[in-house]
Amino acid sequence: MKRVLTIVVLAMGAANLAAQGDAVLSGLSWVPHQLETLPHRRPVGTGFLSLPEVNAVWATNWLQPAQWLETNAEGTTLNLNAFVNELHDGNQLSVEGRVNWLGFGWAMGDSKRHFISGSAVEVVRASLTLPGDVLRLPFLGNLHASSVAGESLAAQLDHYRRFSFGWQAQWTPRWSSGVRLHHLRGFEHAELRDAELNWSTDEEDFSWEFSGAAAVQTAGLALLMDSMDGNTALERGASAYLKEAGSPGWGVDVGVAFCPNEHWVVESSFTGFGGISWNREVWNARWEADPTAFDGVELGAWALDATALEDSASAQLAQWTEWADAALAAEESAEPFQSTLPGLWLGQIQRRFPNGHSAQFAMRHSAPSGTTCSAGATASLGRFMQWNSTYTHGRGVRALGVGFAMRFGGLLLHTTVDNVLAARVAQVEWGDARSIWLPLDASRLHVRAGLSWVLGRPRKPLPERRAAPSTRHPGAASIKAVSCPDFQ
Amino acid sequence: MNGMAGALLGLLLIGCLKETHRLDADVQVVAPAGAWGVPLANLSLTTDDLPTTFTESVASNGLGSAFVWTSEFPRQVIRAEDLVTWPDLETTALRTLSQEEVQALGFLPAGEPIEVAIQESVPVEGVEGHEIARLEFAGGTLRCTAVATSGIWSEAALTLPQLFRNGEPVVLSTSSLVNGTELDLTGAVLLMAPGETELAIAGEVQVGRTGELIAPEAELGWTLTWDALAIELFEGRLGALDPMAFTAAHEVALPEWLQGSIGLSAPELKLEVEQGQGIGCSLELSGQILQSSSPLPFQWTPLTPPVVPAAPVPGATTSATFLLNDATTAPPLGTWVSSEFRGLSYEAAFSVVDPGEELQFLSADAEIAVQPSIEVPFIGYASRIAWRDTVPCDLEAALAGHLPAPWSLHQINRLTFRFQTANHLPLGIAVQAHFLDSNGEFLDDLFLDSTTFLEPALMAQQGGHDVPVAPGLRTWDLVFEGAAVAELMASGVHSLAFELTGCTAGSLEQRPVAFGPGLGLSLSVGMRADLNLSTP
Repeated sequence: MKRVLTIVVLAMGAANLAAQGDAVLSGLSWVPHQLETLPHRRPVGTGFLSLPEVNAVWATNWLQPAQWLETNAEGTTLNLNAFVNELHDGNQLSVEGRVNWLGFGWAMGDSKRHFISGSAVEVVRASLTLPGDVLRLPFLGNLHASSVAGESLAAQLDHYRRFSFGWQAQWTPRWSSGVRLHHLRGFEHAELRDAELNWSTDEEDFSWEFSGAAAVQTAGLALLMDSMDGNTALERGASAYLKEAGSPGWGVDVGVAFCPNEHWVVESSFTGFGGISWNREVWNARWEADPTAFDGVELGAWALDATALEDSASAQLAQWTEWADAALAAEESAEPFQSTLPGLWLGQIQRRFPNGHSAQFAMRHSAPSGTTCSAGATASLGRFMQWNSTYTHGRGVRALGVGFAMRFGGLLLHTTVDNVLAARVAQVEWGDARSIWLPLDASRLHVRAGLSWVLGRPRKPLPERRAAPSTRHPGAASIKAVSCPDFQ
Repeated sequence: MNGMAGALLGLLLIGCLKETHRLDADVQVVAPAGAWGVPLANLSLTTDDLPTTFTESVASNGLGSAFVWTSEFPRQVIRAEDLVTWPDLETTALRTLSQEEVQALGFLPAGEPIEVAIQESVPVEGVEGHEIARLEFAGGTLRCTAVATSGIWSEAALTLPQLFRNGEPVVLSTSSLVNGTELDLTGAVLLMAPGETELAIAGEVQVGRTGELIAPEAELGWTLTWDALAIELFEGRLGALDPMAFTAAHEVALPEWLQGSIGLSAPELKLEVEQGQGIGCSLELSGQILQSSSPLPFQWTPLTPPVVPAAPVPGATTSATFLLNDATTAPPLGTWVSSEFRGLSYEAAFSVVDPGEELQFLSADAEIAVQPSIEVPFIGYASRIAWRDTVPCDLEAALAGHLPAPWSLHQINRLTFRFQTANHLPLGIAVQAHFLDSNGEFLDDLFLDSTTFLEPALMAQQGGHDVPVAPGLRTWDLVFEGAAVAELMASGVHSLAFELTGCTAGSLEQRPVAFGPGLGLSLSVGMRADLNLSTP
């Protein structure tokens, strides 16, 4: 077991060496996949064909068990204070897996100033938000606060496929822009929302009050379950299942870049925004429980005769059962609904240095994860390798990412990981030589690894020079030329 | 290049950094202090739980002010048709022709009719002992059929001088040659003089021969049939009538806690009678107190003759009230009704009283209405009030269900049982709580002093009786700490028993307590467990 876990962690480390995170990816200009967050950027060369790429994301703001353990000369201590102190009102855990099945693109037009691209991506993402009060409850009890609130309870699961078509254009040596349109096919969706779960305890007489409500929207799950029973698509294999048509949706990415001179680039993009109209195998349900109170078993079997004593719990149990039956009676419907995909805004400024080196400062904002800032540096080793290291700081995020891209002729290998600090691990051992390695910083991990075939090659990094007149616009002699883009 | 290689090496070294933690059985746990609060039991006794038929009146019965429960029974209504049903009446008049009249019929050459007179008074069959002075008809039919012996026929105009219609005596035209004639009696009035019992019939009759042989004593006859009579008003004297009897029973649904041992003073059954008929009635009454074990019969012995006087004239009403209480029953109800009191049932019968020289009347639109109601004053005695109940309290199961594994009950630092009471009753209450084991045996050694006295509510005199103005509040804790917690757990506590006993000082008869609206007692019991999940 220990060996297996070790291999897993080492494999993760190896993947880290070959992976890329979005923050790191923004600094690796050779990699065509950066179109996902920078649709205005011109990929390298005159075209590319990307092979399947693996993309995995893990993020949490509370589930870091390695940080709750302390070991010194006296032994190991499980410090639950650390766990309780790190809890938030909403404690999030999200995972995402993505496979870029295929990507392609080629340059078009005069001087190759337009670039057309396309891709097909499979996305599975799941998120869970647990109320802090509920997580604190087993350790602090119900008297630490007057109410245990569960409003932040939420969960979501999405599985969809994205077909993208992009157009990037360099309008002038200073301005370039890009747009990508996505056609989405949603396969499964499940969402727990509008949860209102409250349990309040009177600190004086310990009486309880309960109230609760929740809503669930699902689509495609019945088909999946049915498939698992061996009735339809999944029985014929995963590929047949994935060929099933899903619910339709759309999405869009836009971006723009401005190069005031050959040293600076300012970029901004808005990506990932979209929605899916779920209309297949829809099941919606809503539960709402009337507020109820529990003051203890109601005494009521009155008699002077001791033989007439009666257990009053049965009546209370019947009352609770009735309440639970009413609370669990869902209001169901099969009306189609729409879910939205969270968009990401990115603003970046890049400083270019001689010999292909550069530095970036970027700011990102999305509704689920808030605002993060990152600063990174990119180094180029001739036309063989590009290396980037980026530090990201934001709400619950302190990540140091690294990534590189290596060329072997037309073959481009890229891999990034946006939190190498996760590679710092703790080995937790318990009886019979069983153990597991847990990352010391598991707040965020985003790894990517993939291969691409690039037509053309990066221009050899030039030594430091002054900007020469533009070769593309010889007539604009009064304009001081800049060398954007880097690739011909 | 060298710098990049160094940075890569550094990152790889960072990846190799690791800590090692051993989670053996003796791993130490540092945890925050926690506390659980669990409501165990609650008690709510209130007179507001009484049935909605309970009034809020407060009366005095000599022992003290009492909360009087009043409930009305279904109203009993006796109408005129329930007392007297009128069958079809029949009157027959005969007239025998004399020999001269028969000879005249035979000698007249052309068979011309002769004219004879009739003047008869005949009895009315079916009246059955009723003496009629005035009978107003709201409906019905008077059919007159004429018959004649063979050889003759008759045609008559008969006058009924006692039967008026539209202010005139009724005249019936009839012939033996047809099937008879009918008269609608709606609006007709039959008037008979005092002592008069027969119906007078007078008139002129045309008699002729038919050609057949005429019998020597030929007869003329008329039959008057009074069908489907609807009597609007009867005046006269009624014959013998069956008593008007009815029974009723009413159960008293008291809250369970009031059925405990709060005594009830004597119930009082009241029959309020209002009538618009011109008959006097006497009441006979008997009944039973309903008990859960057996009924307790009683006989009503009113002090004065229980008579409902007759209404003087149609349209007027008279009323009377009859009381059934401990002064009018044998055995008297003045003794306490058992706590098993479940209500009361009774049988009542009204008999018509001989009116003497007076006339009686029955009107179709008048009735005899009986409205029974019962009043039960509540006066309880403290020593008779006691409650007892148990609630499950498997401490180990209750707490273990909430504790996160692998922690155990041994990490309970303190266990607190909190009792909170609000006593709105005008009597002191002794509260005892006992731990019981699974066999129901008391584990009293867990309490040094388990009895707590609740002060009565603060009373003030308002409107001639005492009412509570502020409850007696009490909060107390039973705390188990350290070794006592272990002892409590080891004792196998399975349930909690509660005993509440009224404890007003003084003797029973001297200190009755009135139970009015808004009185009650609330008690809540909760448990707090302070946990320390840290381990050494």
